[in-house]
Amino acid sequence: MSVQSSLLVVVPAYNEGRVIGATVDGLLSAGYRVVVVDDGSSDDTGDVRRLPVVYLRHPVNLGQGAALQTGMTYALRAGAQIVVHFDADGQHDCRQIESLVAPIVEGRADVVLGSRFLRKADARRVPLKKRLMLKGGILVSWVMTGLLLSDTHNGFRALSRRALERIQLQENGFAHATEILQRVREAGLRYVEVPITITYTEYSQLKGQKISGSLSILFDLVMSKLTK
Amino acid sequence: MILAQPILILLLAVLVVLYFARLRSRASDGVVIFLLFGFAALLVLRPTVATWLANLVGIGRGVDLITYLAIPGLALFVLLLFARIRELNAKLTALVRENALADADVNQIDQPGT
Repeated sequence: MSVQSSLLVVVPAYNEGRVIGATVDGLLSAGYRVVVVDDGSSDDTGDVRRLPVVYLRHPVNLGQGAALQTGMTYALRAGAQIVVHFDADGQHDCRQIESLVAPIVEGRADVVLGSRFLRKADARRVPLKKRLMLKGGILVSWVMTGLLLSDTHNGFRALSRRALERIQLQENGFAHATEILQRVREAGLRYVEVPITITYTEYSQLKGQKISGSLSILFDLVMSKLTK
Repeated sequence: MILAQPILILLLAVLVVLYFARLRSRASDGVVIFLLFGFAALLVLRPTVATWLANLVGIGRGVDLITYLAIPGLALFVLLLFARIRELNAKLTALVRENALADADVNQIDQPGT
């Protein structure tokens, strides 16, 4: 399939040894090329290199934003036409990649953002506490970027080569999700939201964003505005 | 002269020396720092100057004026430090990224586009 040959799935991973094997296996058996960016893990995440993937390792832990950018820089240099961001913890479904990249393949968009609030059934799967936090995040994103979207900080997204060339993430932490939107706006990239389903496992909930995490994201965003 | 005065002057001198020995980045910085430390030394030796200045701007005591100036001053300093940390972090990131890309472990995967 021609789309898959120029598509790279970037999986950032920090201490995901328990789950990354299964996640990557799923992607590989669906025929995708996978770039795993090991963000300085201290567990056995690195064992994933035994699988037929591109394995990049940060010697020190820098954060998810930094890991994604490393993967994207790799993809850019390797000549990829489309990059998909995919979480290591198994909360994304690789069968949905096709619908995620469709707007790029059809030339309708440069950035496709997965959203868990476009379909009622997907939204209902989001735990209440998480939903409230995300609603707050959507408002913050709106204030910071001027883009009012249905979801925010959803790690499932796709970028065209055009977008890769124009987005260089500076935010090493989780604030990168908002930074992408800022760059989309500044660079005049075309974006679209696509409904996706997130599977909330006990594991992903444990590793997921807490209230304190959202506060540190907010802090990073304010600092980046101040120190620009 | 009270005991606190020589102690404070000594501390200021140590700070100036430390600044020039370790932290100096630009010459213009030096002028600013010298003026600031000079002013601080003056306040130590002639505490009434602070009170006189405070009265000029409608504040009762010299100590209060210094506190009011110090709070935003310190906040600014902290912010500048944060900016410096972010800068360093950006450099570290670039370094780590290039290192990771140079060491890419490309396992049985043919290059995209082929």
